[in-house]
Amino acid sequence: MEQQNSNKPRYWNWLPAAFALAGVIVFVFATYGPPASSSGFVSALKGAWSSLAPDYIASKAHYRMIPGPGSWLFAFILGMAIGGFIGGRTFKKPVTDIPPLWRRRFGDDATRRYTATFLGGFLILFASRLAGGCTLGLFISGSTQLALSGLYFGVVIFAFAMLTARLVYGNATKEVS
Amino acid sequence: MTNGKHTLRYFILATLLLLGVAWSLSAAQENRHGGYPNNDLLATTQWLKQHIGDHDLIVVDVRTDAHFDGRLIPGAIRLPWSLFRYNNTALNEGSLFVGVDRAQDILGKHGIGRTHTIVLYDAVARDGGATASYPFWVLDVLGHPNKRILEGGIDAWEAAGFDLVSKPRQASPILYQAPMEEIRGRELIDGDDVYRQLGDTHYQIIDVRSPAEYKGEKGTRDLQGNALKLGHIPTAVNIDYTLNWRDPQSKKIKPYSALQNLYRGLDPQKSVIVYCNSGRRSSFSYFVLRLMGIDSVTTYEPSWKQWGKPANFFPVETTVHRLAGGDLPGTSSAAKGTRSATAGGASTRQKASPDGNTPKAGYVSCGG
Amino acid sequence: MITKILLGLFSGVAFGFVIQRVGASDPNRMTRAHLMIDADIPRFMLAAVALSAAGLFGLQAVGVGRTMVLPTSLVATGLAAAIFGIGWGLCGYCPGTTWAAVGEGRLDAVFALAGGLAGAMVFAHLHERLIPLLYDPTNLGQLTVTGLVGNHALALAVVLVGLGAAIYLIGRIWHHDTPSE
Repeated sequence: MEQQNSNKPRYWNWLPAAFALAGVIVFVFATYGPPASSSGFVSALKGAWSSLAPDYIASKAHYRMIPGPGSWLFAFILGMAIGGFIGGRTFKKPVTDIPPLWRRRFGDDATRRYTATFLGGFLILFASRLAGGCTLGLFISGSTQLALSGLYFGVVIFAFAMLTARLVYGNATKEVS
Repeated sequence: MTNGKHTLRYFILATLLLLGVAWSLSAAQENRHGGYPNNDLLATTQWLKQHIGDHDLIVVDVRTDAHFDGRLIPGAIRLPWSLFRYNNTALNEGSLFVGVDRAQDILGKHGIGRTHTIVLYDAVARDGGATASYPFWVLDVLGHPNKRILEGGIDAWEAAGFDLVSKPRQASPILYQAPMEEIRGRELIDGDDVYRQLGDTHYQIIDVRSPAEYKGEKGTRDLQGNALKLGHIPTAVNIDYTLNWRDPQSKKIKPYSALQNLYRGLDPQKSVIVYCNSGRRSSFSYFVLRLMGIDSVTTYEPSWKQWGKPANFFPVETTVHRLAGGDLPGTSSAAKGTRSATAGGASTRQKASPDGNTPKAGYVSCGG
Repeated sequence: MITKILLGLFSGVAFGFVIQRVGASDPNRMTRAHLMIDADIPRFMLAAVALSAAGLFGLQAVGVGRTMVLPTSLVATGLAAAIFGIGWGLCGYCPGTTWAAVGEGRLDAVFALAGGLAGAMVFAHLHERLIPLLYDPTNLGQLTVTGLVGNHALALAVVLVGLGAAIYLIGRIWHHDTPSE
């Protein structure tokens, strides 16, 4: 496969990858329950703040609904990071700190990119906690259970993401990445 | 390997990931030993073994004569918990708290002073901490600073291989004096107080009796043997005190995460009132909530013996309430091992809310 | 207790590895998907959902697995999805891929993670005020397609057909620029 593309590493094909992911998801449902990732952020916060301000954590409803670091949930998101690490280290393609699309649109200013991702991260987590889940916890887990909330959420996030990307990047369809 | 120039980054990353794993594992270990916010209210057998020689530590066996088996933890005094209660025959209300003055008297007579660290214990048989919690509640009302309940009671002490004795320690009476400002008299609410705040959404009332008693299917009697009203205090939800235990055999308290799940839906901004029939069972839920770090919890000690007395004319309900977002049917369902589950084509009824009277499913989060 | 940690780790590692390998943790790839020039990631996600739904059906048929359906709150779920979409379109990360991307070593993902922690913290602080305001009023309950249709197998079929159609359409509508990374 690599010979065809002058040694350029290729990501997995989407369909076999979907089987692989579905396998993991079904395994998770069988051994734990619906997988989640946004609540992992809360779990990490809970763990961090518990030593510094335990009264605050004990008094907030949101933290009481989510387990701390000694839980399947935290181990799962940590595992995701580890999985990304292993994947990254065994993949020939170098990792970029600023995506090429961004670079082409906004230049090489790292501060601008990092600010944007900080803001983006803020929005996605704030929103996930409002809805009770994110792409994984609400859309994927929910839709797997045929939940309307998951499907509703999924449609709207995609719609707005597509709109936003178009606004941010202009009409990139003309450009070849 | 690709990026030689970013080796430092990956090194830091790998270290952080490993630290994360260690953190997760140690937090899980801590959870095994409860890991409650107010851990200081619970004593493990190990802790007691270490501190049993402390000169300001008093171990108290709270079992009544009926349940006392002639064996005690070394150095323990006997102080049956029922001493703190009396029957008011004039009012025809049973099992009432004797009051803060009498309580201090009782403590002092048994050699307990204000500066003592008190470790209360009972046995699994009676009732897995749910009788030790009554004196615990009394001490809390008195503002006594250092008190604990022994996890697992005398049975845990025995199982740990430690010695038992057959004679209680005889303690010389001293003066137990709680400073007036430290006594939390406002916690001694009665039916009128509860009645007055029925419409106040600031309070959450938990009925810790069995579901049958809550729903009015099972009743209790007054001192003269007449039946009291059936049902529960309006707006109260039902969380049976036995649910605080992992299982009814060991009667060990559930770990913190399981307790959080049990009381999910409890609003930390609001105050909690717990009650049962006589105030004993609710003292246990009181203890567990305090263990969880919830400080604004009160026991309506006269409980149903007062509220359910027909002559008091307090309102009574049988509708089932649940905490918003609390344990709803179908909130989280584990498939049982039956082969007849919905997949086969059985139809399922869509319910927007579990039953007509309860609020719809409140906020539910993934991962919780 | 340790078992559940190990189980979580194992599941997470497998999950993170797959999403790295398919390129979902690559914000460039995700943005290309949002710009409708790369159909693979959306099709990957939808196909994974479809296959998982079928798999879960199988699990439940033998009585295995734990489910928890999140309620649909017209306002909160919709509003949150809008805000989420804006953030997602802006940075190309979503909460799950952020973790994997950080593991991969992407520095911009680290900032997304930091922003995410901040966002979660702010929400957790305001939870008691925001949930009764936005979530509870239009909360329709834990609705599922199964509940609507009345039969799990039929509902699954409906959803699979829907997802299949979406996958097909995306394949047709999204322009594919070469080379895809």
